[in-house]
Amino acid sequence: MDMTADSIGPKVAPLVEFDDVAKTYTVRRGAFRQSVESVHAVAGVSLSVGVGESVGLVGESGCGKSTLARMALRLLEPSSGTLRFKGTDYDRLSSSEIKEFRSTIQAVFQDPYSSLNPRMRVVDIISEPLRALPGTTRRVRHSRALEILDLVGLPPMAAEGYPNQFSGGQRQRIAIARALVSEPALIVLDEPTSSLDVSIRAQILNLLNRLREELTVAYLVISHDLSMIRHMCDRISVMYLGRIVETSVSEHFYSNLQHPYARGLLGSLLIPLAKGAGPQDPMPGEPPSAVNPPPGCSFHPRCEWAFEPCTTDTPELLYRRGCQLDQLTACHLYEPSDLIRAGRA
Amino acid sequence: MSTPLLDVRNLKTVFGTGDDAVTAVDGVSFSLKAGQSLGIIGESGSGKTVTAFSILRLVSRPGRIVEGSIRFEGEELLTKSAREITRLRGRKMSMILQDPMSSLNPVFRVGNQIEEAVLLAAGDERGSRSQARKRSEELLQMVRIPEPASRARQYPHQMSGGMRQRVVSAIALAGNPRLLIADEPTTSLDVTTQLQFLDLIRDLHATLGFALIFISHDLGIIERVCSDVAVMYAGRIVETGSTAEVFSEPAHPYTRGLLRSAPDISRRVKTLDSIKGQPPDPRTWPMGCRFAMRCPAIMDQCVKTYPPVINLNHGQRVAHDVACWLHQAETTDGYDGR
Repeated sequence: MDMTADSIGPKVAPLVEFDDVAKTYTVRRGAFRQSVESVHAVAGVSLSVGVGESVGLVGESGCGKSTLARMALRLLEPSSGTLRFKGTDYDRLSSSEIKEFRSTIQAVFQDPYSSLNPRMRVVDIISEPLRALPGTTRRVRHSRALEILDLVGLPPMAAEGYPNQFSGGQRQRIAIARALVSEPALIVLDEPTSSLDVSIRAQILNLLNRLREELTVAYLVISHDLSMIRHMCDRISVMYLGRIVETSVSEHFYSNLQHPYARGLLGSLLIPLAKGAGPQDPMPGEPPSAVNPPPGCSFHPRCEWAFEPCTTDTPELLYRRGCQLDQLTACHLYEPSDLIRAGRA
Repeated sequence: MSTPLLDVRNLKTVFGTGDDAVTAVDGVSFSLKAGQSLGIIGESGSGKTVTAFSILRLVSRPGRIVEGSIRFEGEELLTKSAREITRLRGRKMSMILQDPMSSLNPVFRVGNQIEEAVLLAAGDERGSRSQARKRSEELLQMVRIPEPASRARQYPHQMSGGMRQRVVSAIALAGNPRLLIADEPTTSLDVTTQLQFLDLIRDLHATLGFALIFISHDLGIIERVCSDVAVMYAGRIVETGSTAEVFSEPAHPYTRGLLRSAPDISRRVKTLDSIKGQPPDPRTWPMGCRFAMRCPAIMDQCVKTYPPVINLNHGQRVAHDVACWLHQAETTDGYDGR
């Protein structure tokens, strides 16, 4: 077995697996839109989320993390590679499996102002997913919606309200309630707290952590906010320009980051000194365009450690020297190593 | 003590009328010395942006400033005519807004937009177009844009977010302002570019000597940029002082809560400390302390009367003021701070 991302994958049954998934968009540019260029939004990502697991994807805008989330939800088709749902290719799901897929995988989006229909009552918003499932009566749906409201910490009277009567944090609770109502096994959370205020952010984060424990639901969390991902996820992958550059279990995330970009990201985090902020060093440059990514390691133009192979060879995400168990990095600075293979054999 | 550059007293800004009237800023007072940097921290709806807009007299209908005084270089701004205020904006005081894409005109080259600001700021003493161009390139260099001459010929859409926000800063600094207000300028930027931009603002503030008001909801950002901080909650300032002092020894329960709910990156915790509940409805501010219903240390008088501003370090040079009944007992000379 390769020492690729799936090898440090879950020890539990996988729900969703990405196998070397890529997504390329073509854009027409220039005068008369004659020149065709391709944007490699996601360039070969392997990742899996198992039952009850919480996996985080962190990266800056344009790194492909939302594209990845959309592919996981079947909202986008990959250009190459395969996605599997409980072991079956997304392409080969039967119509009954697609129905199962839809109630098993749910989503919460960033902006609770645009993700809730302003003309629907909260109770209808929350119970709507159940209408797609066979054999639920109106009464059952209603009582189920009330149960879920309580679970996410909203009063029963909220059921009769409309989204505009609620604050951002409460709306995000409604969106979470809607995602939970069909008893999913996996929720894809795309920047679930970034539109919220600091004091509300912690409330929602705690709610999500509590729900995961109570309901054993798995999360795929997409965010640019390292500190949030760190408190929510068991495994964390850092993305840069369409690729995962480092992946590790949450415990090593602070103490043993290897990839210079991952370290830089941590160093860019502004946390009050009183809260154990690390050294804060601005990383030079900006993420390059995904239209013409630099050859070799796409981070090399910004990397202070870059040396010759970085400009020509794309480093693979492997278990390398300096990595902890369950940690992979894609950087030429560290020699690939067989330790895990030997240790596990 | 010399007169402060900016002195805001009991500022009150209201939006709408009748029952729906919202007092967004309700009795805010603070002052800023020349060259000082003040961070205003608060959640959305706390009134921090409206405070900034009030200073520049940019509050437009249905909003209006109903009370208070804003003195800039000793002159009252609230009684000035629109024409006089326009002459101040972009020269003596200027502003950087959240979203650089909407601050810039998409159909003009960025160089032209900076030149325009340079010419406007120079007013009657305006020089030639070529001098303005030279100055605009200087400004681009100052905000650390590499190859300023070729960048000046680009349009905003050809630049990255971080680059655009630097162009906006160049425009804001074109008139050598005495006061720069930055309203969450890094919200639309990524974390790595955010830190670069913050350090740029901090360094420019140190070298050019303008006074800075930096608005943010992020404690870490304020700590990086500002020497002093004012914490706003529900339309009022609840705590002010030097950033180091306020963040290391927060006195107001709200400030304490904010600091506690900032996640600690060095270890993973299942449950973060959070502030329970949510801010009150701005249409009906409660009579007493506005944080009372969320406060872990609530007392009887908190619900009855708004607390006076208490100076915690009286006699000492470091100012640290808090509006909280908890500190009434510790001090003998609490005054009704206005």
